[in-house]
Amino acid sequence: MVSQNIRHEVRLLSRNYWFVSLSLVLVLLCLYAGYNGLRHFERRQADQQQAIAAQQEKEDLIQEVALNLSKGEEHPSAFRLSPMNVAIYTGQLATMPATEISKLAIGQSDLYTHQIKISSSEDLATLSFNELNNPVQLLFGNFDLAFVLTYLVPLVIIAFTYNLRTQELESGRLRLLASNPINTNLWLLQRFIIRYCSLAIILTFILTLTAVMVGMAFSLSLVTFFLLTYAYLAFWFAVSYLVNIYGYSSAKNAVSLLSLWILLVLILPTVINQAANTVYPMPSRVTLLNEIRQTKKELSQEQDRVLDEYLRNHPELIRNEGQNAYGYWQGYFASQELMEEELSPVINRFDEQLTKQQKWVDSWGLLSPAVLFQDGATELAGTSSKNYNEFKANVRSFSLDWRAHFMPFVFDNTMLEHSDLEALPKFEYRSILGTSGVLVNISVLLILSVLMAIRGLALEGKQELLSFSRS
Amino acid sequence: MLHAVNLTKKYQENLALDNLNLVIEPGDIYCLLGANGAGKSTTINLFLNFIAPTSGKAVIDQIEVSKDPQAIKKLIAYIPENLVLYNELSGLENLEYFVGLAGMKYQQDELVSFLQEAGLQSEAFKKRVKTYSKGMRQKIGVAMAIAKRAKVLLLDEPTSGLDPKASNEFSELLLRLSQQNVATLMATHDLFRAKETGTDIGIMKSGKLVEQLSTEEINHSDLEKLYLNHMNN
Ligand SMILES: Nc1ncnc2c1ncn2[C@@H]1O[C@H](COP(=O)(O)OP(=O)(O)OP(=O)(O)O)[C@@H](O)[C@H]1O
Ligand SMILES: [Mg+2]
Repeated sequence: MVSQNIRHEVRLLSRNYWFVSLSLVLVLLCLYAGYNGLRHFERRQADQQQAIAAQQEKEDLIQEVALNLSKGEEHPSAFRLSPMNVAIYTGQLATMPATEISKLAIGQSDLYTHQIKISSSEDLATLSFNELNNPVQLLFGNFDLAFVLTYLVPLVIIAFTYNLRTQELESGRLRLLASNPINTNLWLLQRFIIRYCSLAIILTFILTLTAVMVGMAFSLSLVTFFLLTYAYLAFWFAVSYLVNIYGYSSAKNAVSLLSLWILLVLILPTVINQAANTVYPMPSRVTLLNEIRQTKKELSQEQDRVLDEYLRNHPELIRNEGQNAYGYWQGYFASQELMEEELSPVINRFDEQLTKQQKWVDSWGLLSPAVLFQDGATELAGTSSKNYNEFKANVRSFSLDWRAHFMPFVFDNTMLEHSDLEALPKFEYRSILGTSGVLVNISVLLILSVLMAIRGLALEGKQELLSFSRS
Repeated sequence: MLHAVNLTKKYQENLALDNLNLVIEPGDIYCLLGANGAGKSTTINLFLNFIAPTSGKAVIDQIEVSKDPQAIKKLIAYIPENLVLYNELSGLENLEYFVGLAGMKYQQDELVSFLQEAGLQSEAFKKRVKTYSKGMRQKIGVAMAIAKRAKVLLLDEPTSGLDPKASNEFSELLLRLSQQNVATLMATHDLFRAKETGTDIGIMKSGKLVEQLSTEEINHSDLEKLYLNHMNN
């Protein structure tokens, strides 16, 4: 039956002009989406390059000064090697490089900054609250490939399968088919699988074409992206299969499937997102910023007390000269540090809520294949809010190291030397998210598909459907 | 070959088929007559296992239909009033597909010979079925039965809507198959055809078989009188 069905479907599909033309439209849409993704990627890269170049200029300058001084020469800009200057003015740039896959799934990346200046004057506490945070990808974000796959491809699948069985039922052909020794639900499943494979092959071709067009190299993430796509397709084919088996009329099937599409792709992600915000509300941004401002003000008014308190906690920094030897900068750095300590519960509250929201979305997202796919795709692309939160956490912890590194210099009141510049901590964004989360998404989609297929097969012979289509 | 044993089908309170007992031997062409809603299609659907009997059983070749439907479906060929094929495929391709589903494998020239045997003009073999007339499509149905080497033919008003010539050709095909010991059960409204082609006639009314006779026992006009008599009571 399999080989007959394959030949049969190939004949039917190749003579179906609607199918052929829609495939062509799909090619164009994907190429356009790929082009969009590429433009995004390039803009992000250019922004980052610009920031890196500006930063490099500053770093080159102090390198040059340090080199001159180390040779015993004088330099008019020798003051640039003060710890305050290096820590605050030069600072360091933390970058989150764009991945290749981000050309296919822009995700929320255009809402975020991917390069953050690390400087001991910036209080990075505010960083967490500055940007919009949406655990689920915003609907209709960008017209990228992930968008085409999430929203449009299910519609294509529905268009090509909604009446695969009911058409046979309505025309009376199912009676003719069922007068042969076949299991009709298995026969139907085969036709669905063949159509699934046809679409998968077409999409593989289109995706490969798009990947080549946007200059992507073959990689494990790309393969995983393909697998995720296949799993998502399988889900929609399985839904349509089950609807076909339960359904009595093509018109009703179309309505049911479109309703499911609206529910699973449009409504559910929004509801999950809203619910996450309701169940784990974010502390008010205004209140938080006020709290920060208040703390700052208080600390700056009592620099002496702050310095006292700070030194009590960090006796290793006390130098022989006694307290009067300390000036403005020591007080400034100490207050920064103290502020960090005082504000950390506030920030933690914010971060905790964020983590809870993420967990909520991770578990309820299982209900929506669209969330599973989008999440998986953006995670592979490193453009999900998870990735971004990870980046911010990296930045925050680095900024602490950065300041801590300068403390001895500040309190010793010594200038940095050439070798000190080499020893400065370097920021590097390290993601530990990996692709294991995506594999979970793929498995969930596949398991759901298989369960639906099994359910459909189990209904064979349980329905007296054939009497409804009396010829 | 075909046995109905106290075969009964109820739809809620509607007794569609009431205690039918019937025997059809190889080579028989049994014609079921009866008004609309008499239960002819119900009988055929029960033999096809499209519906389950409320009580009694349908037996083909000693196998109870509802017990092993897949085995039964290897033996039977079914031609409904309107044989719906895949319009975008040619007659030959349709035959190839359906015969394949029946588990048979044939070379292209064998398939062609089945179509010839069924009387389809050879120009039509490779044309898409959407260009076919009703008579041509029914011939594909016969070709399927031949290719499937069916022992039993279940026909539900196969000639209604056919012109007299096409109808006559169809009858001749049935006769040829009956000579090859195929047992045929045919529901029809065509008294003339039933008398010409059939070996036996059963008249149904409201789910009951009210009359059974051999076509040799009766002439055309008596058959018509008998039929109308039953219908008027
Ligand atoms: N699926 C069904 N649900 C309910 N009642 C049904 C169903 N199928 C048939 N019937 C009823 O069973 C009875 C017999 O119908 P059947 O189709 O066997 O008649 P028939 O002899 O084939 O008539 P026709 O000459 O119109 O084809 C009718 O009263 C019909 O309304
Ligand atoms: Mg009928």
